[in-house]
Amino acid sequence: MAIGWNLSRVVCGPAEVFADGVPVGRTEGPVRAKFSPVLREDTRACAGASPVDYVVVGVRAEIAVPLAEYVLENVLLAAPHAAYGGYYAAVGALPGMRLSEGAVELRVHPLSREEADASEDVTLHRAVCVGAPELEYSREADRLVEARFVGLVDFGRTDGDFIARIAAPRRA
Amino acid sequence: MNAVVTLSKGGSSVSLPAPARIAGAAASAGQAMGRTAGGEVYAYDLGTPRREAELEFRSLTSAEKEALAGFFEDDASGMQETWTYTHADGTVYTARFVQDSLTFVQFAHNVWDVTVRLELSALID
Repeated sequence: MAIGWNLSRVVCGPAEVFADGVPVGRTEGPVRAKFSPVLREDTRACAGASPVDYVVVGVRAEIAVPLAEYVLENVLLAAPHAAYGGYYAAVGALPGMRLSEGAVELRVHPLSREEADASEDVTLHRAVCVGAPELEYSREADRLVEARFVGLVDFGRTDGDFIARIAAPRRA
Repeated sequence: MNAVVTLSKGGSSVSLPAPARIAGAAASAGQAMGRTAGGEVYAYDLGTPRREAELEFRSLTSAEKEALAGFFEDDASGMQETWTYTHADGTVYTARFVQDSLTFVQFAHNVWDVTVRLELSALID
């Protein structure tokens, strides 16, 4: 039996982004979320190098968001190693900072959904920005703050829900 | 071919995933060798030839780790007792641990590696 393709189930296009519940603006273009299991290949001498199983030993959850609002708050969000300097982000601190100290709950809400409708939201419980923010100055009207977040383990949560939640509608 | 191996003694038995690697299968003549002051080599037979194997078990669960540790301590009494080892190919060996401790290395939560050294009744295949 063929299953019909319903485009409304596909999360794409711009979204609104929240950091610790505070809106930090919309995105320009698609948001890319990736949840990669970290696998350990299991082999047995009696079967040679052929895999007999894969053991999940971790998860790397990443969300790349092109923030459309070029404001200092978003620059600091994308560059957590920088410090607030009043009207600028000061870059160049001594080493040793732990990004986890500035972790935020990152929630991506597709604009195709009503504000109160969280049925397609993606949430990283403790997100830190690890990507180098790229600020393009070639087009004044289209300056983005590209931020790539990785979800850290939140030990305050229960087994199975340590890193992220991916909401998606059920098939009718 | 089986994907598991079994360690058993009396009414106790432990099944583990087959070793990921046989790190060594040794055939020992069971001899000691030395040299005289004049440089002449001498060798003595100390007993029957020995067959040993070094088995690397990978990605054991915590329950499998506990079961193996319990078998080592309680059923085999470390190196004291012999017991029955059934290999992945179904071959049955009389076995003895030739180490006084098992060192489990944690790769991740619920994922453990251990290397076991055994004296066996025949060369392992």
